[in-house]
Amino acid sequence: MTDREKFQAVFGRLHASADTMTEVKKRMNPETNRKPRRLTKKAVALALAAALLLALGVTAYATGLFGINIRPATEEELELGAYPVWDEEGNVDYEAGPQYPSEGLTFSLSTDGPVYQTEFRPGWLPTQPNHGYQRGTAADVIAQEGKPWDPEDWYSSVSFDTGATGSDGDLGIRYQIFDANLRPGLRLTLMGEYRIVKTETWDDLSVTEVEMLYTDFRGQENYVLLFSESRGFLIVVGGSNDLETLEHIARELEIRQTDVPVIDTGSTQGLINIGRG
Amino acid sequence: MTEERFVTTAERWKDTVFRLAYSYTKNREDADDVTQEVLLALWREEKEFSSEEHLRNWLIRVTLNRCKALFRSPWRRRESLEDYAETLGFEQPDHTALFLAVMGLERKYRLPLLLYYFEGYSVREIGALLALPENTVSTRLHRARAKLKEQLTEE
Repeated sequence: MTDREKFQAVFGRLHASADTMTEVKKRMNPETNRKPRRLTKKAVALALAAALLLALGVTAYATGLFGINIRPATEEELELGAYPVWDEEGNVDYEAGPQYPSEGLTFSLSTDGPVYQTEFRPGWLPTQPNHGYQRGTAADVIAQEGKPWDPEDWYSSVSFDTGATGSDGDLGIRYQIFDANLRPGLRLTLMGEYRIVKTETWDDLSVTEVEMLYTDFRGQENYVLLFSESRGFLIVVGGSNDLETLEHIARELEIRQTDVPVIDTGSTQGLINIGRG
Repeated sequence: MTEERFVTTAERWKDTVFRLAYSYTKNREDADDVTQEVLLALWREEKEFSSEEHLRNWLIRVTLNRCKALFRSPWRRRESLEDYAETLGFEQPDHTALFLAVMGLERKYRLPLLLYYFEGYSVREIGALLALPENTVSTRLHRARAKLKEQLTEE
């Protein structure tokens, strides 16, 4: 059997799922297209209540429904972050094998209540983003590609990248802000050697600022992580900018919750390093 | 195009799109999502394709763009290659080995391999599709073959 015949025999077995055309036909009909989500009365009421509480000087409306445990990553969690080792020519060095990070920081969520999808609107950014995605499935994300940035829109992920392809390890991401889509039992790991620079509270947000201590191709990265124990979300602001800049982005974020429950992908572990989830 | 013609065309090409999307994302659900999006883009595309080759090139370019968009999302699903390989029902053990070996390569090698050995594109055509110089495509194919040979003869 020739190489080509072998490839045909092997990859010819890969088929799109049986319901592909059914799904496509549903979406071809404009009447069944999803409508854009609107700000609900509940979301407006929550925002007004929050504003009132802040005006009265109340710094906590924690309900105890959500908790987060921030701790060093376990060995099992670190295995998620294995990455290839490149040689001097930029090729994967199979002799060296994959490299496993030696440490990481895990954010482990506990909850007694339902978790709702969260969106944000950046009030300040160091450069205009070239990618912004609104809440939805992977299909929704893909469908938004190329949509112009609108500072008035609400997003679940916003980033600026330089267009690097990642073939040499540099993914070219300079900053990324995203909602980590928390759900019960979820553990999210920030992979790599790290230093927690500070932890503090901003109104109802627990803030953790982390400096990554990469010594390889990945360059400098810092993170500001915002957790709300009353509303059950984790917003990640990460990038190659310094912490002061990332903190500025974080402080200027408008954050709101929708009335849509988070999408349960069945996954209980993930990475929150920018561009490497 | 008419809906009838679109359905015929989509049925004809959906597996091609899926294979390419899977080789990029290494995840079935993501590949299915990309496939649906590409087919919808085809439905919405107003221009006429001058030939089947023109259409195929368009589908491949759109598929690669959609895959790149997916990788910008901070969340991506993970899936075991071995688990997926088991569902494919390979008749011979060396077919399983080839599948795992190819999918274990870096993306910059997987895509040219699939386009060359499965889709039958020439080096020049692959360069045009992936926006790469021909020399780079040749080098990547050469290195990919060497890595596969090394990996598969070790087993």
